[in-house]
Amino acid sequence: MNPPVSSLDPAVAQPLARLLLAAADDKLILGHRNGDWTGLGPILEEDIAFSNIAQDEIAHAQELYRLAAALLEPRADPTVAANRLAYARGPAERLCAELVVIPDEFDWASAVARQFFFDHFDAVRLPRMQRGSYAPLAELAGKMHLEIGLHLRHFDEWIRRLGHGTAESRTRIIAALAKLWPYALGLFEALDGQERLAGAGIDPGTDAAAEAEWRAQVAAVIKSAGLPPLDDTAAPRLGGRQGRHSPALAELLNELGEVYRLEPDAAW
Amino acid sequence: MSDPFDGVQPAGLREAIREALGRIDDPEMPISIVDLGIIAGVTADNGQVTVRITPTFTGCPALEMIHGLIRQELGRIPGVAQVRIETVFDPPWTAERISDAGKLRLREHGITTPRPSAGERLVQLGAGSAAPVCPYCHSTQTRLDSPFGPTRCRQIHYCPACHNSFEHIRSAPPAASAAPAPRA
Repeated sequence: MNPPVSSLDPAVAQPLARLLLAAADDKLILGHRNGDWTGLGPILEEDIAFSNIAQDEIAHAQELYRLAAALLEPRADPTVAANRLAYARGPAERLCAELVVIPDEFDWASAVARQFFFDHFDAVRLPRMQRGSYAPLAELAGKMHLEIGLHLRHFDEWIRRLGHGTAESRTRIIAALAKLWPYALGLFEALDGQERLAGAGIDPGTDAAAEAEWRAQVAAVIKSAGLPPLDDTAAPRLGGRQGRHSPALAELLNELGEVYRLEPDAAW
Repeated sequence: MSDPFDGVQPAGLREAIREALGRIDDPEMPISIVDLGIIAGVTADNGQVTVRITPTFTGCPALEMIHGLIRQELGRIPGVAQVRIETVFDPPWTAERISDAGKLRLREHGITTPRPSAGERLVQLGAGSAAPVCPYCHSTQTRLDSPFGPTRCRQIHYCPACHNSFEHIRSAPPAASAAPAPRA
């Protein structure tokens, strides 16, 4: 992907745009998956909660796509350009981690585990992004960090509720956490050119220290839920940040982009 | 909180803009966008007025409508040739930005806001801030029913004294005491 001329050094603008797109793709796909639960949550209050949380993720994605559009298509209408980045890119161009791609098969424990891993990922990377030198991302990261506070509380509680619940809830959350753990580790996979960001004072929030912090946070909640620890030696499922995805993503993008493709660039 | 309209000269234009924006109510709540505290700043330069908005939440679906209403109302002011609206996240919106007049009007409609009013310090008791006072019977023994409500900035409380539910506006993150009480 070649960025056009921008005021940033192109050597920095390109990996920065990639970082913004990866974060946006994560949140758009995750929000879409969460939206599938509207009307199907275990209780009404959970429908409302999950929809609110999906709304946050998609809103964050929208703002991230806008920032990416400002770098990649500075002369285009920002809304039109952001929509193109959100809807028109194919599966091989998507930089989301596979965690958000694999279907949860309408298993509530999987939906909980997915958001639990992701919210703690946000909790470690957003403050680091907030301290970065690229002001538009730093400010947005600050706002996003405030908003995920309620997500964290909500899903940490669900992990505990399922862990301390019934034999069935315990079995299912253990299985879901174990199944998604290698994919969650993929959240920290490096993006191409990422090493050029540090020199420019931009922190993607995915270095070894961030990952260690995330592992510790996740382990603490799991322990408090009375659940067995996750396998420290598990190998991460990589490829998502390089555009290598399972066929599930193509299916999802087909559905996601259906209305957009009827009339691309339309104002609705 | 400083006056977001301070940067506008002359005074006549400043007050016309302040009044025009004060006439715009949030599409989903009985409060003006000025009283809500989402106006981060306004500047005017040779007929071009720039309004900086700090949204309550990034995902607020009312924002586009608010943009349209701002253009409509400001466009009526003589001397305003062009209106530009910018979204900013610094300073981030918090419920503490709601004006006292706004809090009063919300309460009259059964919607509470964090107390106390701007300027006072809250005594932290235990896990978090004080429970909202029931807007109907003024009981202080209200409880949180759901941290999520009809919009992202509202949560649902219940008053066991008068058996009414009511909405409470809060920022992110919410008070530490946001864990819902177990149902009886």
